[in-house]
Amino acid sequence: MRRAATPKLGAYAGLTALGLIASLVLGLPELVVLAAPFALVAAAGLALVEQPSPDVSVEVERERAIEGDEVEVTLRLHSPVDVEQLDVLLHLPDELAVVEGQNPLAVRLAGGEERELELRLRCERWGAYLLGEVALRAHDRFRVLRYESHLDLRTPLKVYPRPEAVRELLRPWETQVFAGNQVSREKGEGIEFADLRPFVPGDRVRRINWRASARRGELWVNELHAERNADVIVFLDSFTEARREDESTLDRTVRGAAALTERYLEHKDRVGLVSFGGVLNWLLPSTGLVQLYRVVDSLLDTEIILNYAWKDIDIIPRRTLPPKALVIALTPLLDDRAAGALLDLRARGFDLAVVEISPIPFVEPGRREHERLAYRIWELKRQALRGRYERAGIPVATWDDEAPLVSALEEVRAFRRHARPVRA
Amino acid sequence: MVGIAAAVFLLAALAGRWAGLLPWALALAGAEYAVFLVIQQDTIDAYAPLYAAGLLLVAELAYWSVQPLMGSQAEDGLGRRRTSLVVAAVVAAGGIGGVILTMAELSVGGGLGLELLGVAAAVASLAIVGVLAARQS
Repeated sequence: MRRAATPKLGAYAGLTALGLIASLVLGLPELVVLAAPFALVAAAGLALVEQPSPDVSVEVERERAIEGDEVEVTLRLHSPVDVEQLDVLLHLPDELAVVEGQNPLAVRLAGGEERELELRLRCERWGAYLLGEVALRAHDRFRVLRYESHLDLRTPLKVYPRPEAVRELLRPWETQVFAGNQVSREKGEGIEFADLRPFVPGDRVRRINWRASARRGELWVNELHAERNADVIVFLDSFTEARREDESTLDRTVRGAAALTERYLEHKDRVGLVSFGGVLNWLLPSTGLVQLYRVVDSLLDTEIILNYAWKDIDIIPRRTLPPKALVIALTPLLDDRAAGALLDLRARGFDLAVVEISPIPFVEPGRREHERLAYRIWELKRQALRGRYERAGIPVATWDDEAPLVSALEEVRAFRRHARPVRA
Repeated sequence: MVGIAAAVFLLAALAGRWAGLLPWALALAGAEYAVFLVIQQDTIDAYAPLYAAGLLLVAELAYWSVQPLMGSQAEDGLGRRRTSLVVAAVVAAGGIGGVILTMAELSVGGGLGLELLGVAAAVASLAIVGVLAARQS
């Protein structure tokens, strides 16, 4: 630990010198009496001090939590020598709030004693955090010396987004060749009725539709829709965000992405991720629990990094956007680059749906007339953009405080029920 | 006037948490006492140990008030322990002051040896101040 003299030590030494010199000059022994206590305290402090070397360890109850969870952090302190006062501060990000315990805290450590300080933290926002940056300051008995050190004992804590309710998923226009839970347009093995056809040798007896066969006087069999999986790409717009005190459009984007990813993976679909913003991140589509962790861990690193370079979807690797994939874009539609990229995706024939994370709740219209006018023009521009998307066949549904994600997805489904892809 | 200045410096240090003002406040308080002694110019003041103990108490409490604690809460017992140490230091200061005063009364004649001892003590104190100042810069 780094040692430094406190201002008190210098002051006491100075007062002692001043008192002794004044006593000699003025011939007043009483001034020696006045100076002696300061000399006594300074000398006692320096003589009795022992260099502290406390050992500190940080233990986090668990490495993973969900937004809103409480996590216990234990700091273990041990010192081979007495430490009169040890100030301990665990540096915490703003997103982790202390709900129980004191931070920082001053304690006294006897030589050889082991102490445990417990803090209970509430995870107020998703993210990947490193806990364990500890600042220590030790004082001797008379506070003439101060010892400081800074330890870096980083322990990871991943706080996953709070799950959003998603009941029914969007069905892609086309499915892939592997088995899954999506009802495909092709006929094959499945449980959804597709068509009737005459019996041919080799057909299974259980497939015979007896009612139709009795009506027609010959055997007819049911044909079923195959159940296939789908490729789903969750497309995040991370160019910019609208923010109010405790929440932003990016928070909703990440929560929505995590919820959609989890549900699609449950249905054995392949899910990939594209974070299109100041920094481009992507994950190739895959299935399974491992992919869920990959996607969610990637989402934890999502942040707004301001970047003024123009970007279009050409910079996204081709394998990230497989053909026939359903692309679900989560975007606040604030940045022209993301808006343009989505139109470009549609023009290239991708099956695209847009969930607009509405920035309206995060923006105040302003009090002055010109501010309200500017707000109104901005709203109209957004409506025009939505109209442009809908004319291009891209369903756009709004997710805001009043309409949860479930209703936004239902709105997209309703649009797609009445719309059909047209191929030239 | 000197005493009032000492009080002003002390109050300013406590209000603004400026530890740098405290030595000035204490020095001015000591200077006020020195002025009183010079004016009095009679026998040795028997209350000097009390004044010294009181000055130390003020100094300790003032430094306790202005010290940076990182905004921390202290666990139970730390405050009590520190109070006990301050009281012990103040009592010891009074006792040592009494011993010094007694020795001063006994050796009123002075002498070269005592003078040299005083000079050496003063020089040593100045040396400590100098070393500390060099380390802090």
